[in-house]
Amino acid sequence: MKEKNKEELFETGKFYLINNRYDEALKIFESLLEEDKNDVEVLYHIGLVKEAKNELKEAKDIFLKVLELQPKHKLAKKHLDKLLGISDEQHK
Amino acid sequence: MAASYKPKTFVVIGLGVFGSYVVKYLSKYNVDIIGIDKDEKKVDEVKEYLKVPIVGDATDIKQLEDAGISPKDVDVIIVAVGESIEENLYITLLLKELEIKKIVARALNTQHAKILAKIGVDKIVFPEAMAAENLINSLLSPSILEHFNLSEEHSIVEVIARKEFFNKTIRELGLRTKYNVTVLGIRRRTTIINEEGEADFKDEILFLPSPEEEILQGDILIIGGKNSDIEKFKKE
Repeated sequence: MKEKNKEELFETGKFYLINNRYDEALKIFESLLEEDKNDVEVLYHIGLVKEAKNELKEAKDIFLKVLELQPKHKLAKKHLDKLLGISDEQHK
Repeated sequence: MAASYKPKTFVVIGLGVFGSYVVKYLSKYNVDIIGIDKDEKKVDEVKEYLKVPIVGDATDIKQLEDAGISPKDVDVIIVAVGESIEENLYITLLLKELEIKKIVARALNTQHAKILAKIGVDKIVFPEAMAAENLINSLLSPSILEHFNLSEEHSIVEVIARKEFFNKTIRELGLRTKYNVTVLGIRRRTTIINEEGEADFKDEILFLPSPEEEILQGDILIIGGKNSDIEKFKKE
């Protein structure tokens, strides 16, 4: 897949996510993942879709994978901490 | 009508894990907090939240008085000491003698709680038991995210909206007539794009939603009712 097509698809996936069309967003992100299974941003967005659909175990696993690939991914950490019940106060 | 009384000065005795969380949560409420612990390190860890940090022995009445702990200056004292029941009880007794307005004490087991009740503390907290209860509730009912007991018979729970609820209004679902439970709120995530252009969520709570409010995929319902009715609601 060409880089430009990838970007367009990714933006379309985000558009679906923002408009609560989670299944359509997931389809797009998963097709992008087939191209590169370690694409951190695609994985993070799949995590968001899973969280939005309340598929919380899958969401946790995906955010964990994002952090394995990119330990400093702040948003993945924030979402994982929230799903694990670790609030901001507990970090201090 | 009497003016409502709002405590302003709190003392937290014992700044271990539980005590330090008490201090951090209290610090959000624009109140003065005095923190006491024998261990200087523990006092240092929460120093930024304390109006008066004290490294000292709360079993010594003179040290308590020197620290300005008197019924005139202090509204609530929380005895958070958890390492020794004897120390916890001794401090609580001293505070009763000082006639502090309100004493909240942490109990470490049922026997300890009974003694604290006999001493006449105003409130007993059992953090380990509460945590265990929440854990068991979440393990036995994975669809329930939070569980708050209102009484022996009534609770408020947070539950993930089921698929068959999506795109139906609360009125259409008829939860009150069908299950005798009330939707007190809806927790809803909205996807946003933050300043850095990244997708994230914003959580909002629709408190006491109208019967015409539609349930959306991803919603979390805050339900109140009798435990037996909530059980029925969960099972279906």
